Amino acid sequence: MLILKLAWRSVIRHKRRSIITGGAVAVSLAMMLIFIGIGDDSHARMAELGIRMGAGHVLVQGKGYQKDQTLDHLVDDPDPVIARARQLPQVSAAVPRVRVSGLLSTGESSAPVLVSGVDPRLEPVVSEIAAPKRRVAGHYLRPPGEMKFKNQPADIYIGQELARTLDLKLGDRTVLIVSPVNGSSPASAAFLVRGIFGTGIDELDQGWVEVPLQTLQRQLELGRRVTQVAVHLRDLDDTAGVAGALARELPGGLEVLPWQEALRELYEAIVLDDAGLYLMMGIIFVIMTIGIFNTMLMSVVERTREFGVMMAIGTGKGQLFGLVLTEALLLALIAAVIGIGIGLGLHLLAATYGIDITALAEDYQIAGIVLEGRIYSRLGAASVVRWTIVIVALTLISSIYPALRSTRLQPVEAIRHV
Amino acid sequence: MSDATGHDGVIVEAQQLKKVYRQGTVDVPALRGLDLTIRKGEFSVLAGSSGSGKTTLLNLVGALDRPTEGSILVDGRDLARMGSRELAQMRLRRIGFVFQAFNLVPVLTSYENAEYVLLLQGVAIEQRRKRVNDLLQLVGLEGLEHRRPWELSGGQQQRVAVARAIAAEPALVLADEPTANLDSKTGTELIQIMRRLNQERGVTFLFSSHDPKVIDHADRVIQLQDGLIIADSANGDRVTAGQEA
Repeated sequence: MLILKLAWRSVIRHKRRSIITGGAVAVSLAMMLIFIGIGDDSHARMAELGIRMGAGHVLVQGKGYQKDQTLDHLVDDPDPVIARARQLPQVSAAVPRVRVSGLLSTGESSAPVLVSGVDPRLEPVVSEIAAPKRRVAGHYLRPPGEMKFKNQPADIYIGQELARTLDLKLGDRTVLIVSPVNGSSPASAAFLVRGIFGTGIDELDQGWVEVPLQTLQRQLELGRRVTQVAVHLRDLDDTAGVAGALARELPGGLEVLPWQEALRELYEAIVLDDAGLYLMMGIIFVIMTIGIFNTMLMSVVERTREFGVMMAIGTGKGQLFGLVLTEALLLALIAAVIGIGIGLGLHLLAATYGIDITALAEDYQIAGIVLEGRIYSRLGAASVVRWTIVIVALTLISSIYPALRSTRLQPVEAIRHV
Repeated sequence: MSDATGHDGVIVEAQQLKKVYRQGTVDVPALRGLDLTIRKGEFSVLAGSSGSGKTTLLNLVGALDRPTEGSILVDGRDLARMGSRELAQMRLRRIGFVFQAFNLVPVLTSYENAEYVLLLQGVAIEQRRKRVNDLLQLVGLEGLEHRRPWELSGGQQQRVAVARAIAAEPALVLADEPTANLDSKTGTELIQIMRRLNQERGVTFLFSSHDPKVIDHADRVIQLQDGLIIADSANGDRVTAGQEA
């Protein structure tokens, strides 16, 4: 109680100095919180966008598929996988897919493509590619059962750059050539262009096509087998939990990949972007720490005589050390409360109204994924607690040397100090 | 005051006490091997000109500094054998200090300054309150309990310092030139307060001064010169240096 009283009065003794130092700590924390909030939100949006561009929060694949990407690693029976995934409350959808490389030809020209065999009824629910807002022309795929004529070529849905390259328009006939699973000679099948999409991602717009799953399975002689079951979640943060649960519960011969592994390039780009933010904040924290160190050291040097007297009348070195650290702690806690207040205020503003990044679209492109419109702030209690602890800990660490210095004073010399 | 004194009521017993300060490459002797005994209840003054060794001797007796040679027992305990933590405990529990420049803790009020050592000792709140109020009344500071040091005159600050020095009921109170920063009237009043505490409460005082008016109030005058005791007088009788008072 005595130490607390002395510490508090020492903090308010030099009001201007304490306000400047505490203000620096508060602003640093507030900046950290709002930057983390905006960064986490934009990264989560990018991840969601990447996940919805033909991937999933969690992918269940044949063991080894991620490495080889060949039809040697298949999910033999997707139905139990889909059924188990759908039982999990965090799961919003589980869709089967076949992914294979192929060649799309018009007779006059051809282009290599990545073919995605999808369920036309389920895919629009989980895929940004299939979403109406990404559709440049036409319609999405129809299930084979809904075709007007039995022997009519199946629908194909292609990227706008590919359409331009091959000079394909809606209703045009095209041939897709793929290698079946049994290693026999390439199989070709005719398709009619049903729709054209534009995602803004070159890789997709130039070389991605979607066809009905059953049609592709038949062409590849896969039977019911698929290359992946894409599991979509209601909340990105549940990824690890669902991936873990599926990995434990599904039979062997399957690999369960969270999006961080399935979309490694995107994930690493997000991590790198985070690292840049942390580096910048690290520099701000270093400057803040030097400021606190300077303030505390100045405070201790100024009170050399006072500390000498306190030692002379029986104050122990540990008590002096504790006094200086308590002063720093009080300053840090007050600053943290103010910093949290400012940070949360800015967060609420950003979370409510968002920030228009239309003009900054170039800056919000990671691994080909471009964010558009507005970004918001997403701040969890854990982030607030974590960074508050970091700030308070840095304040205490930067005060250790000044506190130690106070304990090294010799009472006789300190009392003479002017 | 405490009865835990050494044999025959001896509180301070210094033998062949030497203190040498090193200034650059030069050794400067401040005390040259003096012997000193202070008994319980004494009101003694260390007299001598500036540089005679008064403050050095008080610092050694007060466990603020260590002798270069010789031994010094306070309250029967050899300070030379104590670690810094034990010395701090010694200062907290057995020795009170009054400094020339008052040296109150600036962020604490009069009451809190006087209470400070009791808080360090962990004395219960009721006992603290009673003792501090009693002391502040004794030194004539009723009504000024909640004032900070800068709101007090020099004489008032030094009274707070006296209250602080005796609050823990130490075996010995050391005062280094306690009236040097006070006008003569205030200085005399302060010495009278200390004298009254000595007579009424049996507090043992050892203080330094070169002010003849202050020295006149002491029972015993220990005259220092060049780090040695050259005279030791008690009740007006001159005693040869080195002899017991």
